[in-house]
Amino acid sequence: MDDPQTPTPADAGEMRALLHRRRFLGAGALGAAGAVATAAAIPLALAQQDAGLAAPEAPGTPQPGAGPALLRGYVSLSPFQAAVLEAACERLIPADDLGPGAKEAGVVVFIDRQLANEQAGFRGPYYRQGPFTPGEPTQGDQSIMTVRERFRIGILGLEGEAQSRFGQGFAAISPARQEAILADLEQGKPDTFGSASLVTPPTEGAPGSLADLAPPVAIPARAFFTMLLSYTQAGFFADPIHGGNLGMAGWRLIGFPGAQLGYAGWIGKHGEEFTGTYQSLADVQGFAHHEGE
Amino acid sequence: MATLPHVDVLIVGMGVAGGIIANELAKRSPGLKIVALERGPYRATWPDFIQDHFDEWRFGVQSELHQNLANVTVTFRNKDAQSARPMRQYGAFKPGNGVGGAAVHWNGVSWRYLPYFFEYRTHLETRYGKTFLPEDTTIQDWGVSYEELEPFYTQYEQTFGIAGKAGNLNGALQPGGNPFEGPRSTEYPQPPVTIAYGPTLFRDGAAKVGHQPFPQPSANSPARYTNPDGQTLGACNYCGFCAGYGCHAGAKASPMTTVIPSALATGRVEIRQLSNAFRIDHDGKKATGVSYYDASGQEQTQTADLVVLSAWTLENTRLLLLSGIGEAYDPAAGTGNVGRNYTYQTGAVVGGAIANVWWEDKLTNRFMGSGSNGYAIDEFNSDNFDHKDLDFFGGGSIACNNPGSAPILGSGPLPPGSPRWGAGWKQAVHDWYNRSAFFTMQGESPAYRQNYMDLDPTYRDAWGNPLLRITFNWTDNERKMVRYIADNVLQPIADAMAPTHKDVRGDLPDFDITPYQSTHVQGGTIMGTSPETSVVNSHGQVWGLPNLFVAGGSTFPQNAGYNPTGTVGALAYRTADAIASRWLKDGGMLG
Ligand SMILES: Cc1cc2nc3c(=O)[nH]c(=O)nc-3n(C[C@H](O)[C@H](O)[C@H](O)COP(=O)(O)OP(=O)(O)OC[C@H]3O[C@@H](n4cnc5c(N)ncnc54)[C@H](O)[C@@H]3O)c2cc1C
Repeated sequence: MDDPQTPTPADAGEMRALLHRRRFLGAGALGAAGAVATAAAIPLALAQQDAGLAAPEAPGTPQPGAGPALLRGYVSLSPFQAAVLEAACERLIPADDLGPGAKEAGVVVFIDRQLANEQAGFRGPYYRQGPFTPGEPTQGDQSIMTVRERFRIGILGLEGEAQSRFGQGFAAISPARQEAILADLEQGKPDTFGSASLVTPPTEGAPGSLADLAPPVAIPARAFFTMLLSYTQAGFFADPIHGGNLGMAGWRLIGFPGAQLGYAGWIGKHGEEFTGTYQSLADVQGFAHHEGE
Repeated sequence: MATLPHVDVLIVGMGVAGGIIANELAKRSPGLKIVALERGPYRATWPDFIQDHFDEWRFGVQSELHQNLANVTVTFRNKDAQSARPMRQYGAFKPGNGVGGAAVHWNGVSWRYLPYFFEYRTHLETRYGKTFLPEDTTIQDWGVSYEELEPFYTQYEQTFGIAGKAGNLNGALQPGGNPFEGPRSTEYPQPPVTIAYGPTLFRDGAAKVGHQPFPQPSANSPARYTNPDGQTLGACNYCGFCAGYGCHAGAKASPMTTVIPSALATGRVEIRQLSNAFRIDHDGKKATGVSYYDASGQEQTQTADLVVLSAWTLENTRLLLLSGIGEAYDPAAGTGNVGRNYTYQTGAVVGGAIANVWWEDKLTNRFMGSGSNGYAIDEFNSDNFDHKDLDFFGGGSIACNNPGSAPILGSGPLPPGSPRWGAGWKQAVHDWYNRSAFFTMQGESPAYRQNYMDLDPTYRDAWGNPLLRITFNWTDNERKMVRYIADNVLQPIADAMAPTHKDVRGDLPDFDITPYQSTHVQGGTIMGTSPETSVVNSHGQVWGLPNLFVAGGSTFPQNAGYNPTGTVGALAYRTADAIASRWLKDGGMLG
């Protein structure tokens, strides 16, 4: 008989010790290999700020005690798509006196990675059998379209709205104009949007023509806005291991200390500010971009 | 198709109910060979939860531990006149998937139901007369009393190490506990957990307006605890990653930290993970076994002398319907019982009696916490208050809980008027995330003729079997109930908490399956005293198939204003006891 064994239940102290050991081993084994030099200067700089360390002398300089810097890049989005999304996400969460916005926090990298999983919806697994007949609002979205496809069409829609209203692409128009478009989408104006509103090919000087985008395809504008907002906030607040929330910028904004083993010593201190070090699951796993605790 | 060696006991679904029954039978009847089929994987504190669970995106949002909707979901409509659509993604409720069931990732709010709730129809008709209840309500008595269940509630609480404060010990009221609860034979096995700031502000506000708040009972072990089976829970770290997550400290009581390791230690229980039951085989007089798809998708048939169906509310109901056991409920004709009395609860996030409060000058640290970390009041639960002059029946427990609000789903709610995005939103989440508290009534969902489950005529699961179809909506009774509670109970408490901002709501629009509300879904294979009005007797035994038992909330004739699992546990212990002490000797239908 296959008899899966549960280990002797450990108490919190033992678990903590095990986690620390794991972290130590992880940091040692991987950190010793040295940080990989990459163009990931921004995350590294932000990470250094977190730890109160001096910024690295040059981008990619290996940091003592740090795990490997992870390569960043887009696996799903084209540079044009990423640029439009960056501009839109930055309006939803703008940089200001309170701290970084969506762009600096790497929100689009987060979204890009999610789009690589074509099976999932925002809340995870997605039932994908037909018929795909629209229903009542209380029954939820019934479309077969993947999130990736929705983003692809929605990005064309954003570009098209900008071109047809302001004569320039979405990433090029002013923040106020970008905001105006997004505010309309939130209200369901227009009802649906997509490639049909494009006036010129998406990228200036790009090969191809508008004909490449035919036949026109559209999605409901308000639903796209809601989806965009959900993914943008998720990218801002999800653990940095998922690609966004760089430097734990989202967490720092609101005061969420991240992946902590617990607050047994704090829970009874009513009204007191938590003074521990913020940490990512990367820290817990030993991929420390800075040392936690 | 392979022929598998015959076994004595075959359990379908290894969650709270299945785990308890497997453990009791293995301990008490050493001669039995017990096999459990579980559609999900085997995940335990180690090697699974200890290292990967602090991840809101993966577990909280993307729902990794739950039923894989790509394979199987439900369809839903508000009423017969609509045509049902599949719940394509989560979702009002999140069924468990894996050894340990949904309690692997539950909060751990662990109640006993009120004594009169087991004779609810009789109680209400006696107190208010036969014409008081709405004509379309189909609530009924359970066929088991609180007194009969008490020892089994105690056994469940001792085994799961529940932390709380008794309000009634053998009839004597105890200060600091719930004065409305039924008499307990003994104190909770552990004292209450350390409770966060927000709930204590609720406690003080509720006390100020004259209520009697008490610590909400919790399955988050406040200290290292060894249960009567010799299984040890770790001490809760209050990490705030609880509902939707496995526990890294082994401190959340679940079958995986209690009854399942104990059952496996006997060496007489075999769990087949990734094994998906699709039919209870039977000859019309008795169950002969279960047919299932094994881990690679191949069909297998396992024969057994005794079959226990404990696959949670939706699958319990669907498997009976798929197997042609009992008569499917037909609301138009008023015939059949399988699928009848589907019930839910008002309250969590969207519709219901809900209050949010914010203070400029109080840091509530909502990120700390444990799944059940709060204070509750019970004055407005069920029939604890006089409904004579009210135009509705029912109520609910009202609680302020601090389960740990990770920010993707929990950065709000924000004070009324806050922008949804942009610089204004940023300012608002910065200002209010850690300065807020939330309390709500977990409102009762009575049973009605028009709310039920059957097989969907169109949509199928990944193996080609029909999905379960849910037809459900609230009625005016619940709309009046949540409005009354919001205006008359939540408002005064919110004011007594002296917040900077408050937002108290009592709306109940049509039931909407898209936002998460709660995994407190009951009914479909309900218990009762006769085959005319129920699918199973109070031991969970299917009328007419005496070697088939159903366990879990599918047997509840209606839903209470409490979380259900304490009662799922107590009933499972009672079923196991009846099997071990009587059925194995005598067989037949148990009286
Ligand atoms: C996020 C969350 C929070 C919750 N918090 C609370 C709380 O605080 N208090 C409370 O009282 N309740 C809570 N619950 C509900 C609680 O988890 C359930 O009431 C409880 O687990 C029900 O026990 P059960 O044994 O009936 O079902 P489960 O524990 O769900 O077990 C059923 C098992 O059957 C398996 N199964 C299903 N179909 C098949 C099949 N066809 N073949 C083989 N196996 C199958 C499932 O995979 C599952 O493992 C919560 C639930 C969730 C999801």
